[in-house]
Amino acid sequence: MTAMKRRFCNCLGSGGVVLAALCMASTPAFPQGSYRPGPGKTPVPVVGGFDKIHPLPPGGPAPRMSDGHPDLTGRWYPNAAGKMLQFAYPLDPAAIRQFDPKATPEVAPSFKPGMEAKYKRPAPYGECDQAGTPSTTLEQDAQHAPMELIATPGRLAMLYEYPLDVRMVYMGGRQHPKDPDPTFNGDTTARWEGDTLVLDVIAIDERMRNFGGEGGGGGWFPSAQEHITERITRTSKNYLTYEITIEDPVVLAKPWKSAPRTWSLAQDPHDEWGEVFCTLNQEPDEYKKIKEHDAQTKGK
Amino acid sequence: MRLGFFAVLIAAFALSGAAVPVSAHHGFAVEFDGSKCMDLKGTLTGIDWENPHAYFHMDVKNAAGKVEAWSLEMITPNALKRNGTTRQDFTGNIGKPMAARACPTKAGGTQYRGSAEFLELADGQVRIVGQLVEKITPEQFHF
Repeated sequence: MTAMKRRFCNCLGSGGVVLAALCMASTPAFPQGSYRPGPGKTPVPVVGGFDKIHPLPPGGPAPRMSDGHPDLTGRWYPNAAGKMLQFAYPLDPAAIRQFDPKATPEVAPSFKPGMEAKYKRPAPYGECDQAGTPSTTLEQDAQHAPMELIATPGRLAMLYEYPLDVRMVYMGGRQHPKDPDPTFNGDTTARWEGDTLVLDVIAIDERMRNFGGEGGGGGWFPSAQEHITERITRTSKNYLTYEITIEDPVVLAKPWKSAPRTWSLAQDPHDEWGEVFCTLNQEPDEYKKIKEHDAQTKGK
Repeated sequence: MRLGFFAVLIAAFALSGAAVPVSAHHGFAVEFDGSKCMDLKGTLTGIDWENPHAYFHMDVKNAAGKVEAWSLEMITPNALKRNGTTRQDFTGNIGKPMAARACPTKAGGTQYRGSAEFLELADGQVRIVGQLVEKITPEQFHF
């Protein structure tokens, strides 16, 4: 029963309150995409060597940039293992999860009266478009695809393999413009608080549903007044912590705060940026027609 | 206490097969039937190593002796590669026997199309290639 509950926990808002309660109440027996064999059963070897994967050690202190701030540069995976673990089996739960729901639980958002019915919509069939801020970062809990950060004192580039997205964050005291145009990723300013980079985001396109795996309580749409605060801390060489607060005075009764979510540094020196396009791409079908035509007219 | 009871109700609701999307770019249950998953045994005939999904094709002889040409969806090539399965693992086994556990499209959907959970190519290795929507583990996978 617990296992089945957990499998449906990476839900995207369809069913609304019902699924929110399910996500809240479930305690994972095992993470998405992995099994443990039943008692007395010998695990069958599965390609991938996942039984040998465990949380990385801290690996020493975080490196620093020329300005003295921690260098956030790295290929980061949303787990504790430093590699992609989507659909991996069998697996140490401590290696695959971004946070321990018993130690730092995430609770469902609380909505203002009438707002849940208005701002929660069923998930549509295709969601291949950009997820925007903050869903692009939060949903990696289910996707396990990497986020690559390239940091200099003047700029932080945040690159996501899935969904393919780029956030360019300008350091050096940039302020929000007076009336920023809404964008999928929003308008971001950045400041350091000690060794934590704090990102302040407003003007997110209202069509960007908020969702983010377990604890997010299913997805909901923001209002134009949504305000996001992201806190990124490189706690050691191998680990990054990402924590987010969502405030929305129109929709939410109080701010929603994520657990501090773990990201770990890619360990394989040959682990390179991979292309993942998620589109309703019908071009391959058109291309196939050329090949089919060639095959049919061959020799004529 | 109330929440626990509610959660049990929800789990029962979920087990009944109600549509619950678990993938972030399209919902499995919108297209496929997780209650009708089956073992397919046949011959690997092709591989489309594409985003957002890779697909493999296999010829399966049904009970009446007729050959069915199946197209089965897998996860993105990046995830397959990083989990230890490459395009060459497929191209090197085309024309050879294979078996797969897959869930077909729902009634009214495209025939001989499905979503694969795991498979075994002619090299004999079990590979996870999609969402494990059923409550079975590879050692329960029978050929």
